[in-house]
Amino acid sequence: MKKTIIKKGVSLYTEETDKFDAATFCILLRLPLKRETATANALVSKILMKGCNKYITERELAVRLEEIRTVMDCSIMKKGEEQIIQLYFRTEPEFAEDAFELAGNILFEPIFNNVDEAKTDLKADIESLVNNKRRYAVERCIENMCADEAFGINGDGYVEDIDSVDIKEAYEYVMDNSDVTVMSVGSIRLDTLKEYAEKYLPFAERDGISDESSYLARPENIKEVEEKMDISQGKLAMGIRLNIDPRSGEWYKALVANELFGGNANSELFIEAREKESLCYYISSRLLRFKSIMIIEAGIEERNKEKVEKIVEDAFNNINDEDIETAKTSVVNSFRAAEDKAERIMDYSLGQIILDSPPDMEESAEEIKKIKSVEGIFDNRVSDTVYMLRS
Amino acid sequence: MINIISKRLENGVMCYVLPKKGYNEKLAMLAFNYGSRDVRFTKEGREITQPYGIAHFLEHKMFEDESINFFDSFTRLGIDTNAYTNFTTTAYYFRGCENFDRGLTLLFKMVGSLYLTEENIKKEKGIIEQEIKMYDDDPYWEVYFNTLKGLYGKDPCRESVAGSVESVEEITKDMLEESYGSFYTGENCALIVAGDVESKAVFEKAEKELKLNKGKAEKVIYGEEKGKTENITAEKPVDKPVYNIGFRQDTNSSVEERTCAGNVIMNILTAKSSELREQLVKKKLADSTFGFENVVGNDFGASIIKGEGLHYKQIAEKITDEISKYTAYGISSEYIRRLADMEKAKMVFEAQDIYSFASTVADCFCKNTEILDIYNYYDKIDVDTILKHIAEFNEDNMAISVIRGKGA
Repeated sequence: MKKTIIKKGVSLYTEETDKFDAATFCILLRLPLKRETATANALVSKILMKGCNKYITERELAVRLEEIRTVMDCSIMKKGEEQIIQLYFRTEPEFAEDAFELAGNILFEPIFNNVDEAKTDLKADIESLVNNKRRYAVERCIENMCADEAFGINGDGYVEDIDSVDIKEAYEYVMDNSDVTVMSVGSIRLDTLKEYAEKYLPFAERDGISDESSYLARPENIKEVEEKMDISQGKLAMGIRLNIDPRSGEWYKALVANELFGGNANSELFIEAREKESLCYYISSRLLRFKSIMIIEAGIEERNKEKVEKIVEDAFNNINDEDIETAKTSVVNSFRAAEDKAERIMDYSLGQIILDSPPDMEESAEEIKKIKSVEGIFDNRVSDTVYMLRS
Repeated sequence: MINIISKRLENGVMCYVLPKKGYNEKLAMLAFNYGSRDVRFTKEGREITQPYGIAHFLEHKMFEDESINFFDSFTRLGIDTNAYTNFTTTAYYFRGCENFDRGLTLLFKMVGSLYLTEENIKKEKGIIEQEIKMYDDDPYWEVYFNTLKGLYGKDPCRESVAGSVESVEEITKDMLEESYGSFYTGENCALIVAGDVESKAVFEKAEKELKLNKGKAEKVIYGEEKGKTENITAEKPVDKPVYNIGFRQDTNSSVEERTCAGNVIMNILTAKSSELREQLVKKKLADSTFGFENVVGNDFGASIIKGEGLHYKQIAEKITDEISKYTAYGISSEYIRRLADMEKAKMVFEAQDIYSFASTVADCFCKNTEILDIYNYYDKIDVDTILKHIAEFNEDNMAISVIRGKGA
């Protein structure tokens, strides 16, 4: 994506392409993730959806969106140790200006008539996590693992903090202090976008945000965490510290090695635990780049926990370069395929921006093609947390 | 726009190409008009009944051959592969940025034969048991199937797609071979290719290389008589009750009509632009979890309003009150137009994603319709159609399904 600085702390990233019928754009308000402000910031994302000066209720806002055939969402993302409010729009190109105008109304002229509803929505979001047992297990694993780090803070905030939030104060804090990143993918030209951004999104200058999270950690003991719930199948989540610099070329090796380890249906974990031992339906590993963490998750019978842990350990020892070309192709392809989706283009760019790491997807793909070996890439790993949700 | 080129091949396979100029990734899908509901059928005069979950079981077994693990072969080509089964469809697909031609050959080969041994069946039962237990822990899945159970006394849509641990245990090699021979045939199959491809080359290759059995088993058309509906409550660890309020659809109008009218009505009742939703939220009866799902099959269908919270009974009452308001006073045609146009825009947005585009085309194939027929039907939707279908939202057609916490 091409970067244009509109003013200090406000930048525009664009990818002009005729590949897509729709115009997709988003406004990202990036803030440091802190326990004191997490809930207030999350609540701002909810109140913005509840109406603005021109469309004073959620319903009037929704009617306007239908009139301009636009899909909108406002959500909270946690990336590294940042909490990001994303106001997202997808529209037909002929309605792009209307959608920008609406974005401006929503961000700059909010009304605070429906604070209770916003609070109810946020509470529902936080509380319903437990209904998704897989996600719950992974989130709890991370929460325990990073209890002393900002990354362990819940991006949606905390139920007990909701009532005391002063929404106007929270809104002003977000608008004055967030790093503003506007992104657009589609047929709208850069000069048009600049014009819309200047006209409808009159953000003042501000200091940018810089990522200060550490990717290094060497806990001395493994945290074993268990929780009980009335469930049919145990949910295992393991958190491992890789201690690999996410800004370095080593990170690309980690991506390739993860493919071999547990990234797909042909990986060590999948073949050993599922195909050979019939121990599970799903088992996989993925990398959380900003913190250099690997999360492994599986749905298993509780009695098989140790067997699966053994398979995980063996899989680390079994990664070798025999299938490295296949794994490289798979990672390169996932970068190339990401270019077919506006959301993934924006998501990847955001990751790069947070890491202050310039390569675009094509350059990343080139780096991966050059890799000769991934052996030993996980040698600095330390097992941190083993979480099990059981009955 | 929604751009699609189609052709029926000589072997009966319906072939669709969805051109996506400039896309790096290509996707190919083989979809069979065979899903979890098709446990009863007639073949060469014999009536056959099979255990629930057999279509899904077969899907799992297609990835293995005597000498090949297809996951492995696709991965080696730099291609991702997967499959899914739902009520009406079993679909196999791959997606990748290179080796498309070889991938297609491999996909044809994969569905072209079935390799079963007692041992590989036994192993798969273990894996599927864990898959079923995963769904057991998903309250949204359970509340949904309980809704269908409440609406339909016999129709197999009431059974989970993967079946139960017990029904899967009954599945044998012979049964799998029977279902494969009956449904994995040319006439019953669609090939869907999406990406920057030449349609002519795809058609030619499929004509030459895609070898499938002939013939077609006759599916049982259930078309169940409307019986009494039933409300179902189950207990599971949830933070607050998870509910579905389902309404059975009349199936005497076309799939296109029911899809379009159903979506428009569900928006009238549950979208953020809905007056009913606004009232429910104001009264603190509903929150942001409030939404819908419109399930449309040839001979069954359900319009499901869903959400989380304690007030599902009051919500159900408010829904039926709102419906009688519309049936008595009508509804504005501008409003219907606005919603229909929004649905069309959403279809175009979704068609940007090659997977979602292809799976919608597969879904349409298995319901004897076309994605463009549905897209264009939105232009025909008028007040009368909406009023006709909105009348189905009555208590006789309604079932409430709830999952709540223990002791709540």
